[in-house]
Amino acid sequence: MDIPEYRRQLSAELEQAAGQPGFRELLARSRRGAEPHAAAASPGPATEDDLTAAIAVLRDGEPDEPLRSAALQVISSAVDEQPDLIDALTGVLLDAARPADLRTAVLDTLQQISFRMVAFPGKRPDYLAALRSVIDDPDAGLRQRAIGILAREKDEYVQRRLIDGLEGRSAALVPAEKAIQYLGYDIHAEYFPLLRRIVENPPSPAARTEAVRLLAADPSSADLLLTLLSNKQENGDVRRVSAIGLQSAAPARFEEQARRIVLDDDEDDQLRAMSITALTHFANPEALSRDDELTGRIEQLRADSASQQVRQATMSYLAKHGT
Amino acid sequence: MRSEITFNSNASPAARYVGWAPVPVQVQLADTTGATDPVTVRLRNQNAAQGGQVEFFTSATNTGQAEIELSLPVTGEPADLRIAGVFQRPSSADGDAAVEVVDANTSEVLGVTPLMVRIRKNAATLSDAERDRFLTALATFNDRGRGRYGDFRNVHTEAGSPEAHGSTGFLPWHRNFLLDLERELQAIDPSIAMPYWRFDQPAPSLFTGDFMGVPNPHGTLQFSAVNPLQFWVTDGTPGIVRPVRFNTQTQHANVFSEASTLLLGGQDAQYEAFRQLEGNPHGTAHTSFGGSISSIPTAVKDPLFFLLHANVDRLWAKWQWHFQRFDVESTDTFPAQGKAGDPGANRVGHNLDDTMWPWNQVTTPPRPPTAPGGTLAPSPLTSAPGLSPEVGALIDYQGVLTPPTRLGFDYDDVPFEFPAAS
Amino acid sequence: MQRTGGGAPKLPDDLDQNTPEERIAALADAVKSDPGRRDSLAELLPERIPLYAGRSTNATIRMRGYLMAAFEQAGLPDPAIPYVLEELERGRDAYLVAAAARAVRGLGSPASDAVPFLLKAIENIKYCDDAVSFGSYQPRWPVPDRTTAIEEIMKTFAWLGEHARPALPALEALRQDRGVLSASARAALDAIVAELGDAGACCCAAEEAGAGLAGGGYARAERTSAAVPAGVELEDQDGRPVTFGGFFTGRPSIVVFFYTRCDNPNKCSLSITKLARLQRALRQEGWQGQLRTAAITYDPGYDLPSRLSAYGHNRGVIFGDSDRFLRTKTGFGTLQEYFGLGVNFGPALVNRHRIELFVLDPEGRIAVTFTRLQWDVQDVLHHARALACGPGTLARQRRT
Repeated sequence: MDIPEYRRQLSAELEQAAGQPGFRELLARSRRGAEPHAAAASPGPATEDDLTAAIAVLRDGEPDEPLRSAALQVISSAVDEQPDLIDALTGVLLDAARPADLRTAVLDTLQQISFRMVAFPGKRPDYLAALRSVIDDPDAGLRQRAIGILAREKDEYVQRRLIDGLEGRSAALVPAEKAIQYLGYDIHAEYFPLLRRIVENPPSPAARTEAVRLLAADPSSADLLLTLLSNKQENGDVRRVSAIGLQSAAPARFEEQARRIVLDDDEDDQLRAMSITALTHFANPEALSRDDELTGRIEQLRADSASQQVRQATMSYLAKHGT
Repeated sequence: MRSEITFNSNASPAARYVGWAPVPVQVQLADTTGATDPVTVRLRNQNAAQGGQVEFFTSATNTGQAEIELSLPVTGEPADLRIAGVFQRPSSADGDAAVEVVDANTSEVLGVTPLMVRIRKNAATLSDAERDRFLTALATFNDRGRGRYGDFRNVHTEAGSPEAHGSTGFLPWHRNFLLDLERELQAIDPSIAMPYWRFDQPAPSLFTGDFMGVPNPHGTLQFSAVNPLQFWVTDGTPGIVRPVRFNTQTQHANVFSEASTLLLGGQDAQYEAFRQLEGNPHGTAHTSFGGSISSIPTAVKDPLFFLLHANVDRLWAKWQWHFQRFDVESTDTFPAQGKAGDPGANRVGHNLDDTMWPWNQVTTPPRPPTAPGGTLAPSPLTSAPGLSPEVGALIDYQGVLTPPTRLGFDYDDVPFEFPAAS
Repeated sequence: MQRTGGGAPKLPDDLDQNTPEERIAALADAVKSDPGRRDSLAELLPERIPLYAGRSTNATIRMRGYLMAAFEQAGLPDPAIPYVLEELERGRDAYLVAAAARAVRGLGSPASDAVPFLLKAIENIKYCDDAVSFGSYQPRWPVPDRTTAIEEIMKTFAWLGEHARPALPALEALRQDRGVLSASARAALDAIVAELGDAGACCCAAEEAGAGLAGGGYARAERTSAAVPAGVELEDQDGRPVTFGGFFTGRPSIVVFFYTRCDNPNKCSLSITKLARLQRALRQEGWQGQLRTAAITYDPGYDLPSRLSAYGHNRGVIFGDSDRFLRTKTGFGTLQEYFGLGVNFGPALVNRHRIELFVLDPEGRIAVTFTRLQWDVQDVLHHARALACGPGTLARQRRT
């Protein structure tokens, strides 16, 4: 590759990109009723007029996606200098009269801004307070987005509401498997007893699987995970998630099971492939090198297994641990 | 008689890795019993048709050559030259490149030294073998939640965020964070280079069960039964949550294009304007998914974080190359000269002469109270940027202006060019 | 400010882990209008009381924060002061920090002693502040009476009036940090600074203002008479078994408690980082081998040897025969009782704990405790060296 020519190619691309319409042109097009243009490129420095117009587009207008995106970009690019613009965005987010897709785009922008909110941390409380209001929003998508953000902040309020929903003390904000997943961001949410109850009496198969996944962090649940993994009648997803959980919670016990699964003719192939993969990457190589029975079995599976994944797993195993 | 080649001033095979930036090499003769006259040797790629390719530079010229002739004394004194990978001819496996030394008069092969042209590549273009080596190293480093990946996870939290975001140090800090992880992975498998997720293009092969996973209906990732990432654990909890907000098989994330990003600095290419990429495309790439990667305190629970940031870094590297922004003393390259506490300085950790947390191991205010992970992982290729680097040490990453600052990585689509003669 | 000594807290008989949270809130509300009962609220602050057993961390925070905030109206009793200062010095939860800032306003009279703690709280919370409410317990959002931790801290500075003068330089510097304050916090700060006037008139620095408190930690030198739990079985970071008596007798020891899943970097992570500094100081002063250091985990079920080892290595801890991380194989409850640990547990995890460091004599008896506030490496070494030199050299000290 000729580097000067490569540089010329890049310069040409940049020149083309520079010619794409920015916010002002998209706004003018919108006012003329022209067809929407492709998504705007990066804007030049925003003027006060740009910012005023952008806020007006979000608050009052019916912007098409390119114009909306451009308006949000204008505001986002100016937030570092004018953090109070965040208030305008949260105002739109909290305005249930505005279209849900617009409010979702605004939340996207707020979330993007949050990655540099250390530059203006005084805005963080208002942002989180706004999200707490949105978890009861009529729009399910907005609700889940807000709940997710708060859950990752280990927010007390959203944890309380999610647990109330799972325990049946109030209407659930989200499906059970999502509630469980959100609570899983905070190991101190301490809902292991609730998860064990859900495993016994699940509101849905997905909720049960998610509960099993998160019980890996509970040392006292290792026996339960072992029981679930060992039960050939158990749901395949649950068995696989139990295996992964046991691998984390009690590696030695998992490796016993993994070995058993590999040796057992009457086992699920996906579980078998997973077990071989786990042994390949994480088991003690010296112990494996002394296990002639296991090695022999894996060689046999490489030759005979009807499962492509099992054969693939055996090849990785033998490449690393084979004689 | 035979030849010996030393790369990067280190005789160990662990140093036989090059990128696009020329590295110092020494060639010398050994077992020269009976010989009296200097020997003219020719250095060349052993196989010009496949594998990584290198070119050769004498000290007198900045023009790379496919072959080079040197006169080597029989006393064994080394001759100096430089070697670099040929742009866009990287290796795909360790040792698939090799330098062959032949006697220019007799054509006798005096030595073949395998090496690797090791380059950070677009993750969507990796071969299955490259992908699997990367995943194996990553999963080994995580070690079911017990490995030192936990330190990386514990660095990028709310407590550490002021060190890494919202000011001029954003790009150098993350460049160092990536470099640290890459070096740790290279200690497991030296053929690894951090791949990047080119988020302004569809990357269907990246978001599969064989690579970075596919979310189930509620967003928990599923992997193929042979993918070691299925055993990923952070905070004692297995699994990765990453609901998707675009069609990963046919669409790209809703981010600025590469060209638009490179224009953020304006035609006069100012760093502080370019740093707007922290919002878009960096922030928008993070929030193009739900789940862990979409919030600062949980982002590193998802290993996609590093592929995302490798692309952010690649964009910076490309901007630097295109606009020749390597001079650390220029405010166009980096505006926050000096150190924290100087008049007009930025927050600590965001000025050219500041050391960077956590690698500086400083845990007294205003730094965070804890510094997980220790100093920066070392490299057999270079002593740069140092174990506790300053911000400025991350800027001339190719050693364009100051060769010793070369950090030992390159991107597949960002070349090395010698500075224009003044 | 005066502090009373330690000792087992008197717990109201019928408050335990099954007590509905709303009852605790009602108690706090009642005390607000009946300040004579405020000591009863202080009795609900020790971490180890059954009230907090089995609760999640957030439930514990809710309860403790609501109780603490009530001191603003009820008055702040002496036994509660250490808990309030601890929260200001180390806390990273906005609800608790805000509650602690409110509680300071329950002091009998403003005192500049609070200034360094309030300034430290700003440093801790400024990047993780949050909107909170004390108008009711477990409110439903949106709330009508929102505040933040920094806004409460500003209100407390305003309440301190002239006694806030030592904070003036730091508050002036805070005004220059453009984005760190909300509009209302900035307005409050401007008013405080305007009220205090010229910073040159400040008579003492903020650090000096706090000098009346145990700025180096709450240290209590009091040799325990409880029997040493010599038989408790432990395992170190390399998986080596050892008994409590086997490790903690023969030489004085310095032991901290921690757990790897602690999510407040100002607590366990900092404690272990400081333990590493203490180890290096020991070696620099030539005391290596004459004193033992140890960290014992609150979470023995999860903190297996590999986790202990990784946690310590990553914070610069030196491991060796005399320097170990330990988990109990049996008998954690015995240690809990022996040390009077300030910790409680949810269904599976620690839900709340204080900072605690103990210096043990060569018989394994507790000789000095440092709890709640920052302990100073040299203070700890001073006590440990005194024990190493013999019992006659240990002066009984009570920090004022």
